[in-house]
Amino acid sequence: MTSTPWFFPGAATGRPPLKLGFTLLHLAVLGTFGTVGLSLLTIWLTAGIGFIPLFGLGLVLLVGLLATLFFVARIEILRVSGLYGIDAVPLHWPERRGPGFGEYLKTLGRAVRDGRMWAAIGSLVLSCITGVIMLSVLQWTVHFAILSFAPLTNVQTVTGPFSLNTPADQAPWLMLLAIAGIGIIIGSAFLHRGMTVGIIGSLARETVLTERVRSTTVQREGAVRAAEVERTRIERDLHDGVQPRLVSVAMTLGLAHQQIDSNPEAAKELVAEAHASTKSAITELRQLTRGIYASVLDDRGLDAALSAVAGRSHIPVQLDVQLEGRYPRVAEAAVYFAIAEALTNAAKHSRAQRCQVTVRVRESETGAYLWAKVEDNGVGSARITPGGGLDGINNRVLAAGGSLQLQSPAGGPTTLEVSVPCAY
Amino acid sequence: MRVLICEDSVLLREGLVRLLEHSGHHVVADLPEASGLMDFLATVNPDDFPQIAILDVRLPPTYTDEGIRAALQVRKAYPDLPLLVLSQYVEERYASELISTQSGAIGYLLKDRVADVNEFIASLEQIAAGGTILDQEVVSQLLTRRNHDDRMQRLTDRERSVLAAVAEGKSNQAIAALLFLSEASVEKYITSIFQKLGLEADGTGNRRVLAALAHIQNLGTNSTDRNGS
Repeated sequence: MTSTPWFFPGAATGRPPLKLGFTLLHLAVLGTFGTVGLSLLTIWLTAGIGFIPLFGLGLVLLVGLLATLFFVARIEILRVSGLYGIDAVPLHWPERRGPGFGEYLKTLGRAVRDGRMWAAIGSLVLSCITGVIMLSVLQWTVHFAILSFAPLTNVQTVTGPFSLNTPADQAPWLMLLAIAGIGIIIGSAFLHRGMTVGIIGSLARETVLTERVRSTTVQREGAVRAAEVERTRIERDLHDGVQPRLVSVAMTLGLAHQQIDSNPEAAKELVAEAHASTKSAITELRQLTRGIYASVLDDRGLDAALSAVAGRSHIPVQLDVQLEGRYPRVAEAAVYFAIAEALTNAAKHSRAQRCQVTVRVRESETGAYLWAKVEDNGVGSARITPGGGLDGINNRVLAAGGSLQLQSPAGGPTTLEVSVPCAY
Repeated sequence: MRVLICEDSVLLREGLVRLLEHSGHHVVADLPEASGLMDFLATVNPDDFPQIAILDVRLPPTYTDEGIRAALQVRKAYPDLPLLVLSQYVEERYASELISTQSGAIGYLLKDRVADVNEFIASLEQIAAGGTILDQEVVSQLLTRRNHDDRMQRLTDRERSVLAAVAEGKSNQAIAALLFLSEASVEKYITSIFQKLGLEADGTGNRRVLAALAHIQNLGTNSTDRNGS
């Protein structure tokens, strides 16, 4: 396996190596046994179709055949990708998407329609045919090569394949035919590589694209859900916190207004109360909005933005951030949100006395990523429930193309790790 | 005293003007954005030159850190003009940039503090008189950043709250009232803190605050560039 697949632009080599010896060995083995195997599969197929009237026994045979075809195709993909160093994703029997016999039939249908399986079987058939041709040519080549030494013996004519009689003194010319045979054998190796890499390689490309589409879909769903969860949360926070507080402020001021002439002392007290309430409403609003977004994140980066998050946490926070410079906005914002929300969550549910926040940049094969860990010494048992705080973090991180890990056994401690890719 | 206001929100600007005029101060200019600030200071009649400038951090056009940049610009051109920076959110990074100018009086407070009218006016007068005042939220952020520093670990919880109050710019008298201590014991605490942190203990007033702040900032090594962009 090469680290950079050959079909990616910028790969070190434009084409996979030929590996002549190994290719010829493969062809010889396939030419000898492959034909037998393919014949068996054909007989199996005929028997399956033939036995369908017999209590559906044929159907069982055909399902077995399908499974066998999958197995063979899987081996073929492994063979070609192993031989030529292609990064092909292994073939798997399609997953059942639900319980019940109906779903099982649907799974079979998906298996029958699996293009990768049929393409791999096609690649195998072509390789077997090439192998048979290669073996015949090899036979003739050896034959001609031996016959070309006829002048050293006492025979008058030599009889080659197709009953071709050649005068013994002309026999050395047969050497040319032998050389041509060697050319055809080498050609068959090229042919094999071209065909199999063409088929399996295109499958690999297709798989990469399919995977990319899948991860893009996951990201998009994450983004949409994150926005939903966050909107709901903001609505709830405003509705349960700030709104009723302001209503009570207005009421208190209304009362004060009533009593300002009759009982100025009481009115004074009421005004002081309204003043205090207003200030706590302001504080609440400030913390709510800053959790959503911090402008300092834009102009000074993640490190600077985390100070206030740690500073206003109800649980004492140890902040350990080691970052150099700036990272893509999406990654910074996702990690910021994850940490802010994780600390809010911990304050609500964990009953912890301490939190530790660690942020680093890490390198992996796929590039650099921002890694953050939030640990608390609370009661544990944190779970991701739809619409909850952790769900919001998860969606937000998924939307940024990252991943989340939660460890929270009953009794604690709780550890939340997020990783978000940040290409430089 | 003569005050200049630079604040984009009409409500808050008018509120501030009303508040200041009510307290017997004179607002020489109230600007909706920072762009006209330097021009005003350059052309204003010397008799009307402000004795303190109040700036909002988030101002048009980008609503990020215009106020901070304007404050640094003003500080460079007029080092003696006291500045009070107000913000919806306070950030230790902005505070560090403001303080690192190392000269002149500076205040950095949450906008919410305006609601406590008397305290706000008192802070304003203290800054105009050359003091330094930082919002307690900024100080707690700074302390959070430095909490795992060895030298900070040596402080007792009580000493830590005294240090925070010193960094906010509070006088011994105010600290004593805040923490229910006698002024004598506040002085004892401060001596002990400055000893543990290896600071010059003879600083009083603003010099003391700056020493404490400089120390809190310089602990640890993960501070990024502070050139004030």
